[in-house]
Amino acid sequence: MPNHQLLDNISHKDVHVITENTPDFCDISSYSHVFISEFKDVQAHYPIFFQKNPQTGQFETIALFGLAGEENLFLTDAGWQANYLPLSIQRRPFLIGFQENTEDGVVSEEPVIHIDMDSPKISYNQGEAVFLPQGGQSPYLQNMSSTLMAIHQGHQKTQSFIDTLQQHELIESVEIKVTLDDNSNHAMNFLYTINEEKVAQLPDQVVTDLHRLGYLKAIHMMLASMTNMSDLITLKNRRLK
Amino acid sequence: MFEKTQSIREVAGATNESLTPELLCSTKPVVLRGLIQDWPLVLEAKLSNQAAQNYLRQHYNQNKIRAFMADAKYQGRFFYNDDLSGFNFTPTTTTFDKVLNDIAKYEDLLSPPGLYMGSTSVDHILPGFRLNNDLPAFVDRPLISLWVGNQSRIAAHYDVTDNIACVAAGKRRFTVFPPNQLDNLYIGPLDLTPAGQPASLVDFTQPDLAKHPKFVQAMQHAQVAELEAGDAIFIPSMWWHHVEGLSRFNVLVNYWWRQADIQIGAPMDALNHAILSIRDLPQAQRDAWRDLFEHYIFAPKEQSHIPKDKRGILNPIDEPLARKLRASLVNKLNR
Repeated sequence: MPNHQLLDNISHKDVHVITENTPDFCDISSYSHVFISEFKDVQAHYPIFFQKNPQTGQFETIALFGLAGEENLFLTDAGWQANYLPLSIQRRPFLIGFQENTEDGVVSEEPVIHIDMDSPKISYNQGEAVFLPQGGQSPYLQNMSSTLMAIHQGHQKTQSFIDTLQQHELIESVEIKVTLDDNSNHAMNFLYTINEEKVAQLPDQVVTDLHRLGYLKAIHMMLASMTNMSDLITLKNRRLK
Repeated sequence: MFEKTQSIREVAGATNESLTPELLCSTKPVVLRGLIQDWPLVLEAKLSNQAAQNYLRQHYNQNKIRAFMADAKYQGRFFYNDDLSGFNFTPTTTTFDKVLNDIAKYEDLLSPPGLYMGSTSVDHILPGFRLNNDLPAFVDRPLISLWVGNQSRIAAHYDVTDNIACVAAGKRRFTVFPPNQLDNLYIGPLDLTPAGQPASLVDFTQPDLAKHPKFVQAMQHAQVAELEAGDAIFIPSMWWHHVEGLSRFNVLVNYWWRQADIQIGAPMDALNHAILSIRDLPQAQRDAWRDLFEHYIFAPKEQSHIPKDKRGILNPIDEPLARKLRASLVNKLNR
């Protein structure tokens, strides 16, 4: 069970964070959310899909790390086997919370930093200190704070991207079927991707609009990222040996 | 309790021309009778509370606002709770319409609950209101706020800014004290305050003189004014003011500004920093720091023994100097 607490320099004064990503110190999940602002780095290593958020039913963009639930083929005892770590993995064990703030009568939701105190990354004697000895913010925390801010902005930008794709009905369901070296079959039927044919048939004006918004590039990066499925299969086959 | 208090100096028949540079830089409060008597909101308020409420509703853009609610037994005193662990009121995020409706609903009650919307940016919730209800641009970029409630009583506190407070509906009583009455007013905690500013713990309607004996001295320095819709008051920066909304429906519009450039820091940050850095030093060291503060801050001497271009932050603070100081403070504080 996650134990999210509002981070402060008194209750969490001695907290350290283990930054290694090995199965002992990382929540194991077969995917993570990714944001349009990081697509360029993500598509170089992972396949990017859409999935429907189980709670809201809304589409979200994810990078796939495994072929089954709770399987992360990049996570090994030697660390994370890829050169780019998606923002929503980097941020752990921190997360964004919101606090209502009133200034001059203007009510706003301010992002604040929370920490999951039940994360395996929490330590009191190894890893990076969150706070400086007198309660200041450590360079590590300042770094995490920019990561969280990038996620906060990424959420909004990615949502607009998805809304636009839906408006043009470019998202379609896809079934992934994989046969491994041991002849076992695996299927995933909760994923969605971009309908390439519909993209090819878009009117010129729409193509121009998507291009101006930077969405055309994102669409092509998502489509190109599918080649990373073969890397996932290779990693999986290697684990069978 | 305040029978013998002095009245605040008054300007009768005040107009926009009364807002002279001398008045705006005054170090004493001044009542400006009738300053905003021509505002449409004031004219509506003189017809009826309902007319004023309707006028306000017409300008409201549905932005969320923050309001405070207090049990009827507190009779509008928005304050700490009994053991100073929190407050006797509950903040809620709601709409301005709801606040106006509830105040109207409470108007017939003998002992209504307190409802108060404090310092809310006028432009944020009432766009267009200032087209016909505004003072002329008498200072650069003032913060203009709206205060709406039924009967209320706000403990004596100071603001860092200079203030012109205009009563647009209802009747308000201002009880003000010079800054030097600090000790006689029994100011509460600095880090938990009912409305953002340190406030007097004395209950002005029934002062407990056994607990707060020096309040007798404060009373000798008190100045009082009652303002009707259309009247205004100039309250200089740092003057303590206790403010009572006396009617069943009260509206105040106020203008806050600083006689300091925008790059100048917040004095309260300096006080907090001094509490952290100086107050708990040994007496002799504190005395030395008192001299340093006197020398550099409170009675700054021209540092003519240093060439002007080598005086650094001892020169008057301009924007580049302010940036340099701010960056260095941020760095040094983070440890």
